[in-house]
Amino acid sequence: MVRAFIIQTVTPGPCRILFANIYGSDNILTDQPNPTGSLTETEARRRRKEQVAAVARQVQSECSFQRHCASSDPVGEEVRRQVALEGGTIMPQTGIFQMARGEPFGTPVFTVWQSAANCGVSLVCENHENRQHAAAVLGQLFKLLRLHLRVLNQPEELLQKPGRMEAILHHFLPQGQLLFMNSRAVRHKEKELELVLSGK
Amino acid sequence: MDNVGSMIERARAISQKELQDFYTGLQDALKSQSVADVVPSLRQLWLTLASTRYRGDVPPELLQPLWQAVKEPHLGPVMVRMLCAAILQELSPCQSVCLKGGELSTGPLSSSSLALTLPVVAGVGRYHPDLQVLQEQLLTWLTGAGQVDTAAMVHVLGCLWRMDKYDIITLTQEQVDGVSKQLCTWLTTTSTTQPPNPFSKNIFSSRQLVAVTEVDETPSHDLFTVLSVGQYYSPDQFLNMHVFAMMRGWLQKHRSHNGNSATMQLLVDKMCEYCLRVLDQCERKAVVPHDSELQQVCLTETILLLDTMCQQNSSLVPRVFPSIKRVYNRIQNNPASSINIINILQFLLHHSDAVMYDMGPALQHFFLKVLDKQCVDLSLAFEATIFCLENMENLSTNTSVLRKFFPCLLKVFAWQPKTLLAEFVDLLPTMVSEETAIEVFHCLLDLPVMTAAMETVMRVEQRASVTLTDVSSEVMTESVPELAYTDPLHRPLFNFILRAEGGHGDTIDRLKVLHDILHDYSSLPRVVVCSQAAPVLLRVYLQTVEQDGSMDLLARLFPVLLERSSLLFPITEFQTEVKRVLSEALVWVIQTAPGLLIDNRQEVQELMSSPRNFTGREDVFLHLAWAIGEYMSVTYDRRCTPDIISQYYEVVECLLYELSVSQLGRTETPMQHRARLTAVLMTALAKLATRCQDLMPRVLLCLTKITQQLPASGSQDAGDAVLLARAPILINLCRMPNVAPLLSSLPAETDDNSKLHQDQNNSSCLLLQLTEAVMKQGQQ
Repeated sequence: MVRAFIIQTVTPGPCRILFANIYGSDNILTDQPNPTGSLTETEARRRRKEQVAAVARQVQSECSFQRHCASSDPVGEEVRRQVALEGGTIMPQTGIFQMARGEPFGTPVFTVWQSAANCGVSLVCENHENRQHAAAVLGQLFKLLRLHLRVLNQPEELLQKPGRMEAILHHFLPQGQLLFMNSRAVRHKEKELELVLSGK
Repeated sequence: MDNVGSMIERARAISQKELQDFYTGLQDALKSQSVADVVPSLRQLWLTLASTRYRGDVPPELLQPLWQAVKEPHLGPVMVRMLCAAILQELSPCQSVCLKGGELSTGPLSSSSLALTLPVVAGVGRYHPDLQVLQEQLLTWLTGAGQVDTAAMVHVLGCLWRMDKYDIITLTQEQVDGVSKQLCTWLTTTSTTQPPNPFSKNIFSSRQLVAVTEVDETPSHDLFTVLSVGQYYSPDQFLNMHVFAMMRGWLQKHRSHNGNSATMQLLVDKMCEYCLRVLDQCERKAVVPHDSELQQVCLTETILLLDTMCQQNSSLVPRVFPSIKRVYNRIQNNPASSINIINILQFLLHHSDAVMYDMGPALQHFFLKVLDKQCVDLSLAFEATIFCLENMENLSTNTSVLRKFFPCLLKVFAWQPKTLLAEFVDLLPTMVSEETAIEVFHCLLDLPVMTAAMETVMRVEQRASVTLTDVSSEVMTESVPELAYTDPLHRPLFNFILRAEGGHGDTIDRLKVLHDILHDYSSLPRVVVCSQAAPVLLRVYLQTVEQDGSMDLLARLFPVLLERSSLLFPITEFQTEVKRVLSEALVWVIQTAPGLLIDNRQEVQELMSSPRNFTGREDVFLHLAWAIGEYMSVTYDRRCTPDIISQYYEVVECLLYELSVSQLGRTETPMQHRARLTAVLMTALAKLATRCQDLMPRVLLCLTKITQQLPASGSQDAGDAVLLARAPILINLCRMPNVAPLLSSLPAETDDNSKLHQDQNNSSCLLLQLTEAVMKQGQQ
């Protein structure tokens, strides 16, 4: 089960959150002076958004570091370009990191992220989650995003059509649960999704 | 500003009045129209809320129609209801959005309704007003009494589990058992035939029932698992997948330390069977690449599940172990399965004792043959680091891998210095032992060199793997490091710096050669970031040595500190920072073992005898000079003879003259350091002289000369004023040979030195009183 799913911009400058869902509880460390039981709904919501922003900044920073390293490696760039040409698909950058202890959700979490062009997607999960699985599901989600929402060329479309994003998550990350789906199961779900998106 | 930025800024800029008008307008519209008719406004509402964290007070009257639409399928097409759900999620937690007791008890909401409603409800979390009622209703639906069809069951289960996992609700043991029983059923009674095409309009197709297949297309009627493949899936099959996905969390959450209930034991038993079946299925060769990847992921999950179950019930270990071992033998040389090797190692760490299995060779194989070869792969690097961190105590107490394979681990860090710094700060102390400390020290100082070497290897390999056509000549030419790597003369240098195992020599003689070769890469981003992170690790190392190091280690470390302060990879900020750290280290090493100044006097004197060494090593000189003045004394080491003091005096005096008097000294050294160093040197000379009376006339002469030279040299240095003030004090001090030693040195380690001047039984107090009386008399 994931704590959060986030879509953001990654180019240098202010980090914009395009979409975020938080799945965990609002209960944080019990040794805080005001345990969250006493936070109002508005405060809780604000805090959720701050948590998301903290993760997003870190993703932007890691992504920027990787791009910096890649751009100073012309031979490597050439290799990647040729591989992408052969495969005909986009090869997103990928990464994984741990947040500082207790930040920002109170329990130890790690974040897997992927990015391409100006779009980054990430999943924040508790430390004991299956990291490979999280990375695989994230890849799946990113593919769907590129297919149904053109996030690479027109990221602003996501801001205009949140219903589509909600539909994608509904089928492929229900209640924040990472699912184990083989190729045919994925295909089945994709068909369900296509039916929903086409408005039937 | 880009499109995204401008959209968000526009949404944020809406004034409070405009916002209220918008809410009212939408509210009114929804009185007469359905949600499907106001979609553009709904999208605008979402954007208005999502663009900032400071709005959230949407009037409940506006939310009600949206919530209605989510709950009741007939109020709009699915996409519009999804949009409403998205808005409510964006606002969550929102108390206006809840399932009232009334709604829950008057018959079940339809499946299509539950699918969208429950996620929103779960998002409200602990702010839901009727949690107890909701919990009971979910349980009723789940355990079959509420007639929810299988397709919706996934959502009910998902909602319940989500709220249970995060302690929004608390389940009693009985309730846990009820759910566990259900989970068990769903796992084991899933149909193994493929359903007909649910998307086809032909509902009367007379299709024969076909069995599901394995990933290699073999038909199978064995237990249905996530690796069972069909053209389409029935709802109970999706439920099976869902249960598998949540199982590990469920078992971990509801493990009982007093022995599991019968239901739980049955669940664990069935789950074990399921896992062993999945392990078998992972051996098959998948036809589709996606399924191959899924096998790897399932392998991870299964090993983790078996580990969890064995931890709760160790009698399972003998049943499970042969399968784990078979998997290990199969994957140990497969680079695609490296992460699963780590998972197996974790399993072995927990359970190998129970089956008397020696996991030493497996650990060795992992570090030498797996991690070393793939240390640039971030996911593997991350897994390996976390593995070492989480098992730090076990690995350092019961094995020697961390102390043996630290070069390999440091390579992992050198490639990911930004991402893994915090983890390595915690991990580093385990690598430091009496035997490894010096080698680790060298490794840390050469971390950027490691990075640069790894960059070299990577580029050489990339170049070999691709044909470069139509690229710039800059890209075509091999760089200096690449050429050196392929040159047999220089290859051994690379082999040394990129070694996986420690214990084969602390460092090499030709280190400077390697630094020069890799100089071209010193501005690469990864190398630069590594050079910024390395001093952090260096400090951690020195702290560890300070706490746990023996005197013998300090004695071995001291000359290395001196030597390496001039042998660092040429990145300016890196060198400055490291030298600062090294010079601080020199001080506390000498403080702990002042005798080192005597044992290593040749090296120290050699180092200090030329101001040419000074540039870039100001801190080192400064701290050494201070330490010499402070600790060259019989009180700290009996062996400190007047001869030795004289030798040091010569060196310090020579340096002082060169610095302040000669033109060469003046131009080469930057101004602010010169004054400070001169002051410290002068004071050191005075202190030395107080311990060796023969030197007294010399020091007086020297200090007087300095005082005369300074104003005459015409320099504008503000520090000179301090020197001019300091010198007479020192001169006067030296003219009082009887009290000078006392006043110029730190007191020996007595109980509490802070009140010495007030302690009536102490001679210094007497001295001060006497001095005061004399001065008062002198003034009268």
